[in-house]
Amino acid sequence: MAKGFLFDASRCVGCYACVIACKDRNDLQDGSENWRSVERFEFGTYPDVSTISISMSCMHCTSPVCAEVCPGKAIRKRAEDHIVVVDSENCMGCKSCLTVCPFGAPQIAKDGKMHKCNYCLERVGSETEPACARACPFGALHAGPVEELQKISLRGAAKRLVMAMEPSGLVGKR
Amino acid sequence: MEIKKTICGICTASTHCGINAYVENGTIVRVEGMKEHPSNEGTLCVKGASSRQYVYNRDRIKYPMKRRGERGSGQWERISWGEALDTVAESLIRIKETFGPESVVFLAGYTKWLRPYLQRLAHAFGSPNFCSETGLCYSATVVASELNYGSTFPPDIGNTRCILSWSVNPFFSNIRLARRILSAKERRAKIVAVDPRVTPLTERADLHLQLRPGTDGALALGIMHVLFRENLYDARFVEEWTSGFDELKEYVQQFDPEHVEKITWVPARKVEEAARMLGEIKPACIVQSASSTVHHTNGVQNHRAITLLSGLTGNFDVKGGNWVQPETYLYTFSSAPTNEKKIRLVDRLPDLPPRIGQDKVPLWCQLHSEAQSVLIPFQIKSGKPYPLKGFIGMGANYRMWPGSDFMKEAMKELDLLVFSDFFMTDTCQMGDVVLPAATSFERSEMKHWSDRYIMLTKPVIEPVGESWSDIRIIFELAGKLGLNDQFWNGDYEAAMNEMMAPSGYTVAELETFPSGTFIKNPVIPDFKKYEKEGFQTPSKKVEISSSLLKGCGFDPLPVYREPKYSPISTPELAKDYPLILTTGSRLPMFLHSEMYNVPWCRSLRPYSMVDMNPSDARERKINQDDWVYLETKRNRIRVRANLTETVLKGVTHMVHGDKEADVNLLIEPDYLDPISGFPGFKSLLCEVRKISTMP
Repeated sequence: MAKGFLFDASRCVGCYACVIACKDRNDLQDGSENWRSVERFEFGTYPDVSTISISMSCMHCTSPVCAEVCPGKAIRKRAEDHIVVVDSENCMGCKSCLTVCPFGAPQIAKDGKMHKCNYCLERVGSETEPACARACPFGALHAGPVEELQKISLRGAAKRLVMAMEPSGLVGKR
Repeated sequence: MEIKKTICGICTASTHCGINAYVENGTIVRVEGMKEHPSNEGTLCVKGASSRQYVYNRDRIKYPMKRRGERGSGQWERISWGEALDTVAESLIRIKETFGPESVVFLAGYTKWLRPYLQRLAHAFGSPNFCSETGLCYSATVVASELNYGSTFPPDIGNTRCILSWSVNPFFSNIRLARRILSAKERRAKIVAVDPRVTPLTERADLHLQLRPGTDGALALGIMHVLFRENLYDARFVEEWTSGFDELKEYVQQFDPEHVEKITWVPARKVEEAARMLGEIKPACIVQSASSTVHHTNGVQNHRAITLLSGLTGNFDVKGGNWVQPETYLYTFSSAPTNEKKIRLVDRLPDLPPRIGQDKVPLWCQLHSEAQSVLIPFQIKSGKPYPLKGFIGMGANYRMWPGSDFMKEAMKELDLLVFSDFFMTDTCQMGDVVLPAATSFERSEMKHWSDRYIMLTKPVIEPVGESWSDIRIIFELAGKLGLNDQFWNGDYEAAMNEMMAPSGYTVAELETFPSGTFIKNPVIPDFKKYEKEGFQTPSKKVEISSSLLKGCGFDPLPVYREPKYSPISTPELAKDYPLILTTGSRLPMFLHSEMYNVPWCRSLRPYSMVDMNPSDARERKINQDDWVYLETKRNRIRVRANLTETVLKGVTHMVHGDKEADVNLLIEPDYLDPISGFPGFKSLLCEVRKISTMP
């Protein structure tokens, strides 16, 4: 069953909860190693200013180019859930993955090797999903089987359509 | 690995989140939000997610310590708890005998849970001077509401169809509130957001009124002008239940939308649109900020004008409007009544000497049962009306004060400085005795939530170092002061049972719900209670014209006055300092002076930065990340420039509490609202100058 993330930019406010929940869950005490990051953008000038925040990590691509170029064959896609994992033993620190990754996901850590999001695969207790999606206070980040993510995405799109339609009677006297 | 239930206690008492702490060999190895907890439903904010680096922070105070050598020299001697408490108690008794108990100040900052018991200690000791950060947060909004209505009134967001949010950005300060606003929006409620900045809330609003900082009152009066002109107000409510309406109507004549646009910079069209939404969509509620609107030199009056909009539009004490509910415990409306007031010994205040501030802000003191902490340094310096000699600060930080250096210098004049805290802050560094406090993970704490939820936590780990729960510190100090009989003979469980007696809960029962529980017999108030009881004001009506303000020599109407310093009120000053400085809004990763020492949080914002509009920056040849001086006529700080369109041209914004660049050095200690004593943090004048050569 393929698994992955779904990110809804319309619900992201750039609060960084996902970034730090990831560090806590994966014990990344070093501030510079970010398996998940939030990038913020600003557009326009007064009175039409808008901001967009994007939360990014490894996307667990169907055809991960990082794995293709890795000379040490350290990166592999798991057959059972399509999660892309890295085996540090075989990583030689060449940064080829960083060069080709379209999402800037690979992190070259202090040990000189590449580390990245592992979808919080080892879970205990009530850890039903990756820490980032669990923490997100505003429903911007989801994780799970791709079929479920598609449903969430569809529902979100439908909701946005509904919100864009102004039903009569809400504003103004009936 | 064990999963233990607790709460995050980092932010304010009304918003804390439920936490699952994963504990291995007595150490927290990770945290996650508690799914079954109604406050956060499994989620966390960035601060709560950082809990481990907060609890196991290298700045934690591990042992009680006393000063060796000069104050502030950084030389400390580890002592036992027994010696620490004996030293403090002996000093307190000596001060009491020489100068009277009122010369000791008991101040509670963060965390807030200890407040009822610290106030009890102060009053039992004989000092009226229990005070807290409410000297400059929240209480002035309560005072403003009470002057109008005789009560406070939280918004009924769950049932509303229109939200007027006024200078609040809960996405960064209060995820519980933000999630409820998002839910309301999904139910198609409309949002009108007033804020001088672009924030996640204003971006999600149907209408954003981006006003010049400090002009909130003029904007509210402008909305009233349109409500009256277009007959959109609740004439029956006004007729039956208000006093002073005709004077108000007369007064707001001048606040036509075009004039209001000149004052506030909000386009007249938007003022009209806001008034129509508020007048036409029922029910509508006002989501108030705890402090933004009252951090102005005209703060209380501005806030009165804002909250009057509720009554004028027929949204007071109705379902989906603002609903009058009794505060039950620590700023929450949990529907489980408690004995908090009784335990705080508030009823002893009339028999004690006057509180700090009672001479300067008598009305605030009449409506709020604490001393006015903002005025402490003035009384230390003047010795009037009586000298202050001792200071017991729990979670206190001098950087809270306007003109923070003024408070710091004043504190040094005291004979006794005792601080309990989690971290060795630079405030603690000034102390004579420093005591280590335990975090929410290391203590047992009773908490209420306005979701009608209650929880009694158990420690999930042993205390870090020799730290103690704040309550234990208070109870044991009370014992050393001979006040055991007033502190349940040291039995905290007995205290909690007394606290909860009106709800029928006991500690034994609460302990059976490790994740907390919904209140079993909630006391849910009716709507429109005023129809039976009238309003809790002197006239029993909504006092648009306030008899209490009039009695104190203030204007009884919610009049608008310019900030003491503004381009309009002080044009000469504005020549040298042409930019408006508004301070103290939140970033997600910091909270007041907290979290700067947490590496995870600091890594998200490694530098102190002032937000300024790119066009203002261009005029000054300032680029993104350039080092600049942020300067007022009082002082200057060195920060980096953050160029952003989220602030208006002509406006700058800087967070507070950052010891690397303390923006409270820039405001004068007496730049205050005369009614409340609240500092005008959010409307100052400044200039930003590029530093061409770095020292």
